[in-house]
Amino acid sequence: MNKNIITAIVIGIIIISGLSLFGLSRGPKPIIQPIPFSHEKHVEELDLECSSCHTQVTKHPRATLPSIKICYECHSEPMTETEIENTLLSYTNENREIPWKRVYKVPDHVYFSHRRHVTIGNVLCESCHGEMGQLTEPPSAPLINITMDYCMECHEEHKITNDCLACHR
Amino acid sequence: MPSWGMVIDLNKCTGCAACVSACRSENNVPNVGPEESQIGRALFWMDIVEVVEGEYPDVRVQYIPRPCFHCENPPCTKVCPVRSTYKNNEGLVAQIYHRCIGCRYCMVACPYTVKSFNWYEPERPEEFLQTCNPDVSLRMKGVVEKCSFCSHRLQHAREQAKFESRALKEADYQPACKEACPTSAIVFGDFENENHEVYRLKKSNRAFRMQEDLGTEPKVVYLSRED
Repeated sequence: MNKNIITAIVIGIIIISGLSLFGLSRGPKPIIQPIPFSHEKHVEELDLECSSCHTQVTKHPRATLPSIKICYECHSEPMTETEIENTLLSYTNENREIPWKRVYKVPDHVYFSHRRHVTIGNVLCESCHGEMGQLTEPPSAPLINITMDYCMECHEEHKITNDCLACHR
Repeated sequence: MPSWGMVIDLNKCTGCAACVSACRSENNVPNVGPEESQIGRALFWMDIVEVVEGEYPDVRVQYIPRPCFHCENPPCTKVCPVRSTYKNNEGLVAQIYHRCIGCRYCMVACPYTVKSFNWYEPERPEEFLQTCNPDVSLRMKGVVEKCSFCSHRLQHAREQAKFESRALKEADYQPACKEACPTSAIVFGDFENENHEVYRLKKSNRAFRMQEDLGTEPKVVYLSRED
């Protein structure tokens, strides 16, 4: 009798731990970029601004991912002899856009405007994107999990409206 | 604080329904099939109500465009158990779809029947998705929706005005129905602002509001037809 109970408990534990491992492994998919771009090299070493490549950030609701033309402005000739730059050059030589993947996204019922925050509100990029400038490799997930609470706390702190219609539509 | 409102001149309305189709495209209002429409499940943010007056052969039809009235004293917001619909400090009666639980109390409470319920998962062919207005979210099955006075346009207009360091002008924020109206029967603006056309029009001796005795104080004012 006792043996049966112990066996049942052991089987139960195995099943539960198996299920939870399965559940844990099914988080959001890591984002893999086509080129292991180093923000650190561009921002820290070369002293570029975020808006040098994300050109629309100060004047448009969307910050935009850099087009190949922007890379080409500096990389028209090879600057290094690294494998990474060779991959980049294969794109620039063929004038092909790099299929960058978006890391930060808000749901479609949320209106977020970069211009409104960066230019009108003087919010620093790091406030929502974290220390992207110090990353030597592209992040596989957002550095800061942007939730409604995260937005609302900042709005409250800076005495900005938290009216639903200010952001939702 | 502004108090956004609309004046509709029934003298000028020809019932062409340009406002209806402009509204549908602007706000991604879903379509339903003919059978569903027959049982009253079609969705409208802006609708044309037809009133037939007189008896044959002396009949005439009065067309009345009917958006959400954004009442000063809205009955719908009082019954919402989750505050999905509420009146903001500019007088816009908002509907937040992702908060809506689909109880439809607000639809019952609204004396003007301006609210629509999404009975079905909206079906759009892949190609249609690219024609949807990205400024307005697509609603899902089980939520109530209604005219928002194109409040997404206010978000844009206000941002643009701040970006250019100037005050918001009357022409900056106009809903899609007003823009589409070929006879300028629809006028939109701030009821509190003396410089806006609606301020003058709402004081006209032709001005009336729907079912005024209910005390809902709609912010859509009609100008009655002159014979």
